[in-house]
Amino acid sequence: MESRLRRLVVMPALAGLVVALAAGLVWIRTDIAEARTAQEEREAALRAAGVHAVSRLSLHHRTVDDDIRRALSTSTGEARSELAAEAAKLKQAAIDTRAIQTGVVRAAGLVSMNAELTSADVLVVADALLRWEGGRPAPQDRYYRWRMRVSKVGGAWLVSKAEQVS
Amino acid sequence: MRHRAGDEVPEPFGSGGGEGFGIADPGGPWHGGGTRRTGGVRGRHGARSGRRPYAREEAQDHLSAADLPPVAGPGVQTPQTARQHRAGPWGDGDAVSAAEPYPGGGYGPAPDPAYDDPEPDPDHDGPPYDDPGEDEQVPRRRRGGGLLVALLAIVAAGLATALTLSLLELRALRRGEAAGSEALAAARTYAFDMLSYDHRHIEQDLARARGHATERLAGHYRRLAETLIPQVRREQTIQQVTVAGAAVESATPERVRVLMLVNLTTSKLPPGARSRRDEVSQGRVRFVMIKGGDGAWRVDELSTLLGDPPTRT
Repeated sequence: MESRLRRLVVMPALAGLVVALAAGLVWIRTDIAEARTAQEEREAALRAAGVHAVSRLSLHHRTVDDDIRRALSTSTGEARSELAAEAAKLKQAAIDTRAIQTGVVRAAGLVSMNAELTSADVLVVADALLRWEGGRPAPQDRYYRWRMRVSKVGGAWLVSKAEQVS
Repeated sequence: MRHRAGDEVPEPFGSGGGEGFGIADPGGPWHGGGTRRTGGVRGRHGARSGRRPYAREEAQDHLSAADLPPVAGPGVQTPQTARQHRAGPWGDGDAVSAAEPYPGGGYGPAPDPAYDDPEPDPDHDGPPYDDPGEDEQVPRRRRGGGLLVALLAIVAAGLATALTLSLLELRALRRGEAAGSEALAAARTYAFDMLSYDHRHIEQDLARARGHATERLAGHYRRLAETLIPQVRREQTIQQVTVAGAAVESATPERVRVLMLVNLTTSKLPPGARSRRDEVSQGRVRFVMIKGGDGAWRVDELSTLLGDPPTRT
């Protein structure tokens, strides 16, 4: 009788419980994986914006071609077009004034990210120290506040739009 | 008389020759012995192996319709066949053995000593279809069933534990996301109160700022008041803040760093000046927000993140 009860009630109930728990676990782990992916993408978008800001602010008149190429490699779309359009003038100014500028990111924060995790709006605060080879005129501190649109292109986060916040 | 088909059919299948008709003859001479034979087991084996057609041929060769009781055959249940349906997948496997006429009728192949049963025990009160091994199989089945139940219970407990831990992990992740949004909204709201003041009511302004601060930052405001209040009153300063942008730098359920781009409009009348002097500056501040025990977000740290280059107007 006990064996029959076990066969008819306990075992099916336990089997059902195992199936339900397994299904629930799969469901939850999927949600966790999605949440973790979103978190990683947010961090990656912030890093990309920071890297672009530093690339954009850091240049040396002797390596200006490489510096501009590096800044272009971290951008896409409108931001890249604008940077490419300014490249010749920037290069000439850096060479003429023997400029050396070093950029540093003070902070970067996420404003929003789309549900597809392919585009994010980021605020970036960065400073640059501009000096000129030869020591004159005196070095200048420059402060920047950017709002950047960062887009995922071919698996990489690149800055597609950058505008200074006034 | 030997059953021809029984001679031709391998032993396990030959026992399937009855197709249930023996069962339909409960009062017949084969009934009692047949149901107790290990032939019943053989019948089940035959049924399982899909060789039932042999049994049908056997029956058709040697029994006319008139010989068969009308209730015999698959799909028609007598109390006996109903019992057999519970006993095996075909339900008539035992019926085959019951139909076998070996004991008295001479049907079927010569009895195989290996399958021969002992004489029926009239005192036997076990199930009518058990074979000699069945008594031993019952405890084994019970043990097997018990093991399976234990195994399922262990698996269920493991899954329940994993599910609980996963739920906690997911909850922390979701709370982190929610905390970012909540703290961001709170920081935007507090920015004016924390950074604006007017020389006409500077003490109330600082008290309002302290209301959004943790005890640690409130202490800082109290120390600041000692130097700020006289200076603000002396210069008749009015400072107002607008938020140009706000974003989350990092977020955990209890602590969120918020970056804000603020524009500060400052108006002063320094001693000796004839007119007020206005300035607009672009600032950036970081609020470190902490969630209190009451669920409210408060500012725990305030940093100007360097730089505040003024633009004269």
